Amino acid sequence: MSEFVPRGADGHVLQKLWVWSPETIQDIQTKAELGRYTNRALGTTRRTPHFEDLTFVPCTLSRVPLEGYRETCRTDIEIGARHGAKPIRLRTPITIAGMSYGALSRNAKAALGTAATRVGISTTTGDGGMLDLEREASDQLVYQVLPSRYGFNPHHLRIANAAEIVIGQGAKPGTGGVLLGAKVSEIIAEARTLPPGVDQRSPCRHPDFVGPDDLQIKIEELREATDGSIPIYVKIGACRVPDDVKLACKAGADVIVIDGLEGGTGASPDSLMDHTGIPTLAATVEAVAAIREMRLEGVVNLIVSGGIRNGIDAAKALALGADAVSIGTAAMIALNCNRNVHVEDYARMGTEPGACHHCHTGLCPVGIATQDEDLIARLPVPEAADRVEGFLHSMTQEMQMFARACGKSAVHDLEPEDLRAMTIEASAITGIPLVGTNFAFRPESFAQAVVEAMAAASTNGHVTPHGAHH
Amino acid sequence: MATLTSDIDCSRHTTREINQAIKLAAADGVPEIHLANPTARHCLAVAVMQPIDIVFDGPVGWFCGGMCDGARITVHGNCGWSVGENLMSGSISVHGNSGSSTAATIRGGRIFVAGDTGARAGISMKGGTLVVGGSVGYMSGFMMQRGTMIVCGDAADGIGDSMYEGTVYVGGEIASLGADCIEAELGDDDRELLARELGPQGIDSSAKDWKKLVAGRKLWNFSRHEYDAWRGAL
Repeated sequence: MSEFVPRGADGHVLQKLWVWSPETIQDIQTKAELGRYTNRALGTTRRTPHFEDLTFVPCTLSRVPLEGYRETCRTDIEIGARHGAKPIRLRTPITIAGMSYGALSRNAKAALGTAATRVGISTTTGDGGMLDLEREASDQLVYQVLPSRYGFNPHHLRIANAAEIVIGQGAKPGTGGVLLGAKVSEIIAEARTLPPGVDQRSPCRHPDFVGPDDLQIKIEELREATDGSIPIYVKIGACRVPDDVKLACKAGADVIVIDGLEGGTGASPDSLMDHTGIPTLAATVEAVAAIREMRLEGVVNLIVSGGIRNGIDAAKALALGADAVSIGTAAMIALNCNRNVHVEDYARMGTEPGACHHCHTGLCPVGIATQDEDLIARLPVPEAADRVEGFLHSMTQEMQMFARACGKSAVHDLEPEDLRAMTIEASAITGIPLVGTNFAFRPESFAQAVVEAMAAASTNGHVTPHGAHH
Repeated sequence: MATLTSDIDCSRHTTREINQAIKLAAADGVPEIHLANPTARHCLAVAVMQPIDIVFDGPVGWFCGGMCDGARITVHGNCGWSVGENLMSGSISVHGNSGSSTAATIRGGRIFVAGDTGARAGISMKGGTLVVGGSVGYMSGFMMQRGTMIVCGDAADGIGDSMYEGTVYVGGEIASLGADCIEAELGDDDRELLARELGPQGIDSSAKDWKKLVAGRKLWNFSRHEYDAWRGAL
């Protein structure tokens, strides 16, 4: 008899109900107390079909690998040159995702910019506009154009290196952002033209355009405002990816950022994070196919984001056809998010290091997701930047390691053939053969299998699909 | 590139050429530039960051005067959507009607539309002043943060929905107020402001029965005791 089976006082086995699980019971009782939905930060609690479900099949006897520690493996790429703007030059195919000054502290933003510059990649502003510190720290800074336009300043747009029109966010597509009153300090309120302390609810629709035809004109406006000198990105929360990607291509986007449901957020209703959007893995495959169908492969660049945890996920995304990945939560964790320090402050929020997703409270014990000066002081910029830089280097090394093992002299040469699916689900989503079967669980594969089986039966004198005997 | 002159025939140039000519003229201190045949073209006079008088002799399309900081624009004709979006300072006068999202997110300056506007005029205004001689469409003043919107005619459904701050004045009929938008008492300061803003446009403010609208502030912070307000907002 296992001692891990929960038992009542009289020794009988306690039966938990699946529908009314302890989590569900707590959820209902919390909502009853609050009188509203619950909010959380970071991301989904769901296990989604993920890059984790793919494995590389490096070179062995049939193919020759590159020497892991000797031979060159390029990582650089230029993106955003479709319409002749000065492209963003990434020395490694990673970008730091848009995270707002407001959700993040100024030290966090400065450290991310510093690390990005050292590594030769771009970083991105967020809701709340451009922070001077961030501009100074970032050689290549992408300026977000969000529905709220909090802190939007055309002078900042004109000193940015690219503009990113945010249509949606993977963690909560179709909805706007939330910044609860605890984080709307005097400084943040002034930057966003809001009364201090309000629960700030960002709109989900842009104030000055609505649909895809309008987006085309908005892109034209941004090009006119910047004399066509910077690339225009369009960021989309992953939902109807094929349609959305084609529409963004047609509207004139130079770069499309697809953010899957594993994407992070500073605050969101948790029901949205767990029940909207599609996973980054699926979104990557659909976005690559859509760009290919538009015959814009290599012309419109694709960045994928949402749950990218390391160079392994990044390498798999590249193998599926992405040009680069974007990291937000992983970069925060590299900064120090969920570090096992100041444990008493985690406990005060009812959590602990490793399980904290309380960014929305403004009480971040490590000074990242807060506007409290004492807490911000816990995140000195130089050390924080060092950690993020180290993590970015590790990601690059991992991408190169997989590329070399697969015989590729550039990480962008990784391809679907270098991968196998570990689950039927991942095979069906990606079209990559399931390990040990050489069979991709796609509708077209089944159709082909039926045709081949019938052809074989026909050869053996059995009935053909048309009823004729041989 | 267009030749630097104070008159441009838009029909002979690309939008980029027109905008660059305007910016060059402003940088060179040309006091006024006239543009003929704009023929409702989009994105004209965008992000002009220096003072200059820009006059369009005819209708313009979307985003005219968007993101400008200091220019003074006059349009003798109608405007498409989002005229003057994110205006920082300066002015835009439209002698005609304008489309939806007029003055969206403006932070400063002054926009005057002699005729009517479409839906969501003054959406997410963060400052500045919008004066509409005629009526405004559905959900105008939505999520307004600061600034002043004056509507001499009627306001369609949902005026001032989810305002944070700012003030809306309506001289005609109000179809319905938006979530958490309430009527406040009109004082002498308000009457003086209306006279000051409308006088230069040749509009007699004293001839109207003004209503002053502000945020009820029930949506500033969630309260389980304000279910009705939040049901409308969420």
